[in-house]
Amino acid sequence: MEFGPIVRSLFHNKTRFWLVTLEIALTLALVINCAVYILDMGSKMNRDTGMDIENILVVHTEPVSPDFKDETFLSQVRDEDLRLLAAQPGVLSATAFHQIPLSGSGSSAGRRAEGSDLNTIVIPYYLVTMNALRTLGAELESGRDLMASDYPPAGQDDIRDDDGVQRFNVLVTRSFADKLFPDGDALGKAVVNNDGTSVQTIVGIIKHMNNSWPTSDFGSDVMLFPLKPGTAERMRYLVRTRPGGLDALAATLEESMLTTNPDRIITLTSLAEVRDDTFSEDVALVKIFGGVIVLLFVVTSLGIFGLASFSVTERTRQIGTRRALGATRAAILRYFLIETWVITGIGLTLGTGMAFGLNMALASIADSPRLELPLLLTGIVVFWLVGMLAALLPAMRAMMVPPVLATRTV
Amino acid sequence: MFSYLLLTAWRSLKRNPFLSLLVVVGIALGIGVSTTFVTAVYRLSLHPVPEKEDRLFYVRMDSWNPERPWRDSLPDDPPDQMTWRDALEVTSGDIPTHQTFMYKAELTVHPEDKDMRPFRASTRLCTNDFFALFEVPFQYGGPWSNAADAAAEQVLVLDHATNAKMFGGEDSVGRTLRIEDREFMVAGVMAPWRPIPKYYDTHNNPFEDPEEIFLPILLSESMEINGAGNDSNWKGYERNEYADTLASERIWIQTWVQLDTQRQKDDYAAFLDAYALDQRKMGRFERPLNNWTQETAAWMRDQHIVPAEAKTLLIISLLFLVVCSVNLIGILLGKFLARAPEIGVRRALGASRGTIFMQHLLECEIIAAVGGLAGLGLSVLGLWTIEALFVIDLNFKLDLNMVGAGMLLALVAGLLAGTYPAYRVCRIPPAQYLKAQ
Amino acid sequence: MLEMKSISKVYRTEHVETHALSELTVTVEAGSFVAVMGPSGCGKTTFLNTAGLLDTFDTGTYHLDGQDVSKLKDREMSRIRNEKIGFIFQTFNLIPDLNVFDNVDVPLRYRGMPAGARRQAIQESLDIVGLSSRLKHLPSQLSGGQQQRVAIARALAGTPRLILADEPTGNLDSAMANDIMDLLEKINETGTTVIMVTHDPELANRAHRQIHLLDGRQIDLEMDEPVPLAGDRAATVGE
Repeated sequence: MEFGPIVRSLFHNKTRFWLVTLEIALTLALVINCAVYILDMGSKMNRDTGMDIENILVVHTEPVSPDFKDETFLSQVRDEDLRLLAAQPGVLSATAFHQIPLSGSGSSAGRRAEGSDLNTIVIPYYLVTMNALRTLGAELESGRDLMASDYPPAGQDDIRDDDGVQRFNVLVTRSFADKLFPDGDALGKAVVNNDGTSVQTIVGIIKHMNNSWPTSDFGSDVMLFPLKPGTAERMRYLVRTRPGGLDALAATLEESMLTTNPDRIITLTSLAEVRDDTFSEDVALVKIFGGVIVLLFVVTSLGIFGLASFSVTERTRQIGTRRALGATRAAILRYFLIETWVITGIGLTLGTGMAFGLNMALASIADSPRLELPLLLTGIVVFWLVGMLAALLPAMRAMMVPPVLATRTV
Repeated sequence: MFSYLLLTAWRSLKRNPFLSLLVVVGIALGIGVSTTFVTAVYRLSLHPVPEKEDRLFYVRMDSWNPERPWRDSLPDDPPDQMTWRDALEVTSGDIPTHQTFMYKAELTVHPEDKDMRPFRASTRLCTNDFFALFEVPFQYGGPWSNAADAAAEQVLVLDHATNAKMFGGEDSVGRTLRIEDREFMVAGVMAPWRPIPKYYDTHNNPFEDPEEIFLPILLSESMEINGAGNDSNWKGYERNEYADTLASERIWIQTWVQLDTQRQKDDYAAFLDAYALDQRKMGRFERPLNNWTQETAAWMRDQHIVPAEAKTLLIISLLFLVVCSVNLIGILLGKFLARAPEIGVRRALGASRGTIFMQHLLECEIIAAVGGLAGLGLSVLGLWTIEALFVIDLNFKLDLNMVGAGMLLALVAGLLAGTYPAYRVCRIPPAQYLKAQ
Repeated sequence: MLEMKSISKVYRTEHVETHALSELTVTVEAGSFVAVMGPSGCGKTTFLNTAGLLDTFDTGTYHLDGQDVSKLKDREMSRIRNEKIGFIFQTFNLIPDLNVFDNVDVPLRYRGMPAGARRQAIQESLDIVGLSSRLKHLPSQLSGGQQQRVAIARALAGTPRLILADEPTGNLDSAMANDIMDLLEKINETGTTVIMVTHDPELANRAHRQIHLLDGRQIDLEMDEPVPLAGDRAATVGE
């Protein structure tokens, strides 16, 4: 393989060579920095939610009658709904939630470990009726599930003890437990709010589930409160069916629920759809970044193709001479492919530096994800292949140049 | 002479149509992509009321927890919403030209027509100054009166679409609409109005439509309306009655004022500080004094309406244009130098270096111009794609600005790309290529 | 060395049929120095192209160094060009991006010689032409005569049995031309067959034997007869 002469000849042909290497370098830097976004979002979206989302129906009800302002009435409707839902064919479990996981809407509070004097950290929470874990399909790792006795008596949600402190038993996810209790001994311990007026004792630890903001840094931190949710404005339920039972349930549920109480607007959706909706912007961005990558490859391939074509046309006499000196067609093909290989290689080396530089600039200006080595290497390999393919046709054309062109005087 | 050069340039383009096409496509892609993102980011960061934005202010007061700032990451910033009691107080004076405090909710509308089911309408509770502040256009009637505001009368303003839905688009002023358990009278109907972004309340979705129904905010007390926006609280309270929420430290209200003169701005700032200090005497506002009347532009920046990814895409798309230009230089060099013999002949026949240079530069600009036009077409496609993917209305137009910008970009790119190759080719000595080589 | 019998080559375009070679029969003995002459258009270059396997012929037979090369595949022809033939072109045909060393190196690479043997061969052939001090120079940095000498070194590097030179001094002044002819004679003295196309009768006289072509075939001229001059000079344009 004639590397030495090829490299030396490239340095004598300065401008054209540097233009292509610059283009390749810049393109690699841009492609890689688009790819970091795609990878980052892709990994966030593909993470396991910890819930059986394909089989969970989300039921939104919006009361339109002022009757619902009455706590007792509200409670009654809620209980009736839960009974109705649980009795539907194919339903495994139904629970009322005050907000819906994965939806982008939710509530959160600030908590720290009892006795600690650190600042509180964010903890998204859900007010739930019984069987929340079963409805979600989430696993309990240690401790126990919430029980009926954990719930305050009817109408006394804001019950406080003599010191004015609210106390509840709660379930939390391991992710949150580890943040406040890094030694892993969260079970049985308590977390408190800033002024100590609200204390929650951890009676069970959930292995993993996402809250309403799955892509955030605290996306797996959840606290489940034994407080029956529902207001005069809205009541929400999650219903888990056997695999494949969701559609059948959705078809008849609205009617059934309106029969129980017609003064409300009922909207049904699936938790999978909720998740897709939350991710729709990220998906859109992935598509856009992907589109830009494709365009970059197209443009640079065209550039390499064009340059390779010209380079062949310009050197037909040289090719003829080489053939006259004994080069076979295969040798000519090999020469041009190696030449492309070397140019691409130098361009990619330069491009590696540019990729890191651009990544750092974007990270500071626009919060972009960091570049990791495996991605860079993959990008380099793909690019190399693309470059070779782009130069293949011109190289094959070079190969067909007849030796007699060495002596042609035109 | 110029027309001859143009003709020569055109002929040489025709001679190798495939290659010329390649070059045009190269530039078109570069212009298309960069114009798309420049336009998109421009429209996302566009200020909806540029002529008024230095007179509109968003009010923020730091009534937060003395032990910890509202945001750890922004320790010097006051919270981005206010408590009910503070908002009520700081809009009760007469310093600003216009002022309002407000929040968003969802209320049930009960249509008279029994065939229409009740539905939830997005609602904004505010004072009547809202409409003057944000220059909302009216089709019928107008805002409710000051008296109606103060007395919390059951009046409302409808948006254009809801009026079409409920009253067939007719003049419905004076007619009634049942909301929740009360009858409201229509005071006015808005003309179609869609500020992009919805800058007066950017929480949740800065690009959503404005609310459908507007009600006097003092109705909150009697109707016990719960907000549907964001809310936050650092100080727990016993919630036995609705009034407890109104008296709490919960922040959920947006406050805007219009201050036209410097005098007003100074006076209002002093007024806010005086109020805060006053509250401090009663045990509130224990944090350092930090009241802001934030200019619209600064407020929008704070709200990060333009997502960080958009900035990245803007930068990347401009660099993409650079790649296309570099691409172009290489191709043009090859193309021009390949016809060196013809150049040699022309030079031998008397063409000066300048003439050769101009001929080739013209060729570049023709390519650039065609590429630029094609690129503009591509950018329209690109913007439509963005609108579809994000379900957003960028409200862009292929107007003189956009076309001008795109063509300018193209012409400049053509110039940058073509200068060096044209220079190289005009330097070819006439004799060199005249003998057989 | 070279035996052509009744070689014909016709170039056909849409309108014109050119008989470049017409039943050409030529024999060249191994070790001889032959000048090929004739007016422009007589087929000298076509003859050289055919002899060097740069181009094919339509009818006839051609034996090179005892081997019938009429129906060879491209791969085999390339091998023969590489191993048996050395070309010297009127326009030097050095590769402009390569320095002297790399230029002479080209045919050796195609032979698959190992690096050490190549270096030695290059050094030796550059010694023969007297340019071993300019290994790193680019062709653009050399005079015409020096470039042609590099080309000759390239032709020699693979120790060919036959040198084909197409107007080797056509682009050089008389002093340089003389040097080149001295070199060719020296090469011939080592036993290499040299066939040189030229239009210059003085140069032709330095060869052992002259072949005259006209209209694609050989014509007989006694060596001591004056060679036709008028109107037949192939002029070189430019310089």
